[in-house]
Amino acid sequence: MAVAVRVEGLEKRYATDEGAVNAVRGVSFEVEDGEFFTLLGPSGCGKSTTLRCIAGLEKADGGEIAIGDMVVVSQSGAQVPAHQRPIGMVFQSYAIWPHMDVFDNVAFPISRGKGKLPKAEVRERVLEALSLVRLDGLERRPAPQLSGGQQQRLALARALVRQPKALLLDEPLSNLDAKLRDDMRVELKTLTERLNITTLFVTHDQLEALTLSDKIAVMRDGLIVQLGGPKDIYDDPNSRFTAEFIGTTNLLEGTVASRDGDVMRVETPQGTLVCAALDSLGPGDRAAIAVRPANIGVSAEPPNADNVLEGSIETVVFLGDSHDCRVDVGGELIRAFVHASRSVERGDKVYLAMSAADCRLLPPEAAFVEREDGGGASLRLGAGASPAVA
Amino acid sequence: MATAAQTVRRFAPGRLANLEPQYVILVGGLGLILALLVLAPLAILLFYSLWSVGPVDDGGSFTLENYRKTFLAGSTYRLLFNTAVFGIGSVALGLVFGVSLAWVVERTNAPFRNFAFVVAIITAGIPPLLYAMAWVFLLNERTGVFNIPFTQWLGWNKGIFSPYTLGTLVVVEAFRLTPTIFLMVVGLFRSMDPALEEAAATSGADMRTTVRRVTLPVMLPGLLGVIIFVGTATIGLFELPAILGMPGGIHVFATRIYLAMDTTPRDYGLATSLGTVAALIGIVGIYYYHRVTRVQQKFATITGKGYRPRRIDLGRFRKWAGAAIIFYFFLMVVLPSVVLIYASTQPFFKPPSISAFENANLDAYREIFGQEGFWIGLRNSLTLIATVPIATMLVSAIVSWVVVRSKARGRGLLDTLAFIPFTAPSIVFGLAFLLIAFWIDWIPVYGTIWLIVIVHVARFLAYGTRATNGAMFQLHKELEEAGSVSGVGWLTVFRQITLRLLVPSLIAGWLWVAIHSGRELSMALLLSTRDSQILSLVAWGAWENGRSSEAAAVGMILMVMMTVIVILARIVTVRLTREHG
Ligand SMILES: Nc1ncnc2c1ncn2[C@@H]1O[C@H](COP(=O)(O)OP(=O)(O)OP(=O)(O)O)[C@@H](O)[C@H]1O
Ligand SMILES: [Mg+2]
Repeated sequence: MAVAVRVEGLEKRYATDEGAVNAVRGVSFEVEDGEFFTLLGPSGCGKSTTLRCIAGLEKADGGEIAIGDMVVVSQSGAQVPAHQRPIGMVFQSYAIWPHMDVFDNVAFPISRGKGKLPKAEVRERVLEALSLVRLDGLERRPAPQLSGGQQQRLALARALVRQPKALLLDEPLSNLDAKLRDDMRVELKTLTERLNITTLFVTHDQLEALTLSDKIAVMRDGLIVQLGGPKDIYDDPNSRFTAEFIGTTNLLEGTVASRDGDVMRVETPQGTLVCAALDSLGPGDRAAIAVRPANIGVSAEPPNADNVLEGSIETVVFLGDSHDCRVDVGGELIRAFVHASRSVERGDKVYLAMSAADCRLLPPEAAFVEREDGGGASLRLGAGASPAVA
Repeated sequence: MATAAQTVRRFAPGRLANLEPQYVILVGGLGLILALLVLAPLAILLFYSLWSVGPVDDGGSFTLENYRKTFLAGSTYRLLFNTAVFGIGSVALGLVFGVSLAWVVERTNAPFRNFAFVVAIITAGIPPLLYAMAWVFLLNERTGVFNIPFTQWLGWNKGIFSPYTLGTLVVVEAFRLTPTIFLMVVGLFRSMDPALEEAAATSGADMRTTVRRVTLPVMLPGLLGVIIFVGTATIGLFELPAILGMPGGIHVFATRIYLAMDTTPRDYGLATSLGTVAALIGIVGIYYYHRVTRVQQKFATITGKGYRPRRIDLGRFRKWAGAAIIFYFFLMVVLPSVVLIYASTQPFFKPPSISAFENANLDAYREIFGQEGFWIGLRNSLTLIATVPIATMLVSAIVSWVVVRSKARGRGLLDTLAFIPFTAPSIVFGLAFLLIAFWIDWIPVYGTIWLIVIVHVARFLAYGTRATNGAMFQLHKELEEAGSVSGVGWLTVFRQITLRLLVPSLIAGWLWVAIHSGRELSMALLLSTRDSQILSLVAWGAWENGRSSEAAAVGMILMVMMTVIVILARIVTVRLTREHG
């Protein structure tokens, strides 16, 4: 498959009163034709900046960007201005022009400037784009009189009407209320699949990223820390940061005791655990183990499993279809889910079962270096990571 | 396309490589134009204040003699004293009137509240020259309307009021400033979150404590901004001191400079040295204005969502407050208009009486319609109104765009440049351009209305850019970015999106400039020749020559023109806001 967007060693600094901010510090990735590619990360990690450099709204300080076969930012520093790049973009605020009606908003990209088309064709293309986002019949409605969801779809139609090589979306769903966001997410998925358009999507919402993307780049502090399919990233986080940022995770810290073929034994304060081995680790190394709450079985009787821990339930939150429990195991709180049909209560003695395959070993640099992080990541911490959160 | 772009800036390594050529041209070009319009006049003013001869004479050398002479003269210190009393007194008094009125209108349940806004809008169209004339008719010792009880009923040969004292000057200027201060303070009240006051009230503070401990401190930075703004304008004012001060020998900067330039031979040394001092005072004022308004922006969090004014019930004082608003309308609008209309029908001003009404005629109008000068003035004034506001707002919009939106280097400098003209009194600005006109006499603008157009644009840019800067800040940047990523060039985006969305602010700014350009006298005062005179100058000329009825007649025509403009602009604005919902 051909590469639709190529970003190599992208750098961007902002000069501020307090000195330079290194917003993007060498980001590289490739997006293939028709792929849905997501930049995911906590607030301030440089997602928007990366996207805006691709759009040409910010000037890259270094690196190279190509859209299709057009080099829009070259190593030598030459930049193609935004309006000459074959892109369409949807902004967080939608940026619907209030002095135009729906039709004129959509027609703008193809009725002015270089990409100007004959009148009849403009009309045809605009109506087509509007029906694509299900806004047919609203052509003459003044733009400010649209609802939030309609404005959002209008912004999408405006971005698509030029038939761009790449569609850039900067948190387009974040201004919608929860229910509408769910609907729009599905709609966006269907639409981009149907058009088979290359899409670059920016979000800090892991659910959006996991459900929409073909590929996800997890960003942090201006760098990509992990790149892969949604399932890879969810199942196989390569760092504590990714593990905590995507989904909820329990993290247990310990020391590698021994290796036995494909498995390693790790000593933790909660007990010895068996995990899938990691080549970079050897006996005596510090390590962390990440386990998703969904992969932990909870039972009253001792189960038969690779790893079994014993503890008592500290808190129970009823979620409707399950109970969200935090289990005190040797002073550490481990989060697990219990099906709603079972009744659990605070203080119950329970056994936690985890298979070796579900216990991810994380190398020490990933596991221990990144503790100082504030911001978005710590809000999503699993129970095990930091008892304070529970 | 890509290869073409790659060749754009290979030549320039490092920093320079990050500049887009169109920005360089734009910022460089604007900077050059502004420097010519703004810095050059002030530089030339400074130069001649340090030069031994004026621009018409050859030779000359560097000297401090002008300043020495100026500051050895006792009259200079009287002038400084008068200016201080005039500035401080009228602003303080105007503040008392304006703030009380704003408080009554915004925070109480007084009747006729909207009336106060009508007054503010109408008075915007009254030229200061005319307002001053009206008070001469009202206060004249022998014939003044206010003195009727003394001159006619008591038979004294003069009444207790006199138009030609420093006190009158202060009070009349305070009246004139009241609508401006009122509008600005209303803005301050509206940008304040009522919850702040409510929080004080629920903390057990009574109304007086709340006003003293919460309302005023929160508004203080804004109030300081208002004070410096109107204070700087007042110190540079020519019209009122010229009509109410000069006859009594009371001089301020503007009138003294005028006099120095009105004698033969012209005293360039005195005019330029006084002008430089006045400009310096202005620069200090503006420096503080900038600092104060920056503080105000830090207070910007005081802006509340959904403003719901909590109105105080005035109880039995309610009707008094209403009466005060009506009195204000009477004082600001009815009295001056009526007395001017009356004066324009009296060949020699006499207090209103039966015989005076019997002798009323339209001779003055007939007389001025017969003068060629009037028609030249009318044509030139219309030219000013047609060109100055549009040019000013267009340049302002571009400057603001560069200042607020672009990341171009030197944009801060551009902003400062645009604001500098505010520092010097209008007459000083006119003087500086007169000096320039001598230097560039090969450009045939001196003696034409176009010189005055240029001077007005240069001066009003200071106001225009404030208005457009604010509007641009509020315009969400993504609206323009959405245009760029639509494949449309910068110029089209600016024209079709930025300018279009700025239209309401541009109209407001246009109106402000149109009114001030149309009624402005002091800049043209030194620059006009017979062919480039304007209506306000025609009125001033008639007044100076003692033809008061003609002056009033020309003034009335000017006022009607202004009022028509104000009303038209209101209609357009209301239309537009209705359209955009
Ligand atoms: N115009 C600017 N001037 C200075 N610093 C900026 C500017 N824009 C962004 N930054 C800084 O660059 C960093 C990255 O910003 P960016 O907008 O890319 O974050 P983001 O990942 O999109 O976050 P969010 O999810 O909050 O939108 C932040 O630290 C931000 O403060
Ligand atoms: Mg962002």
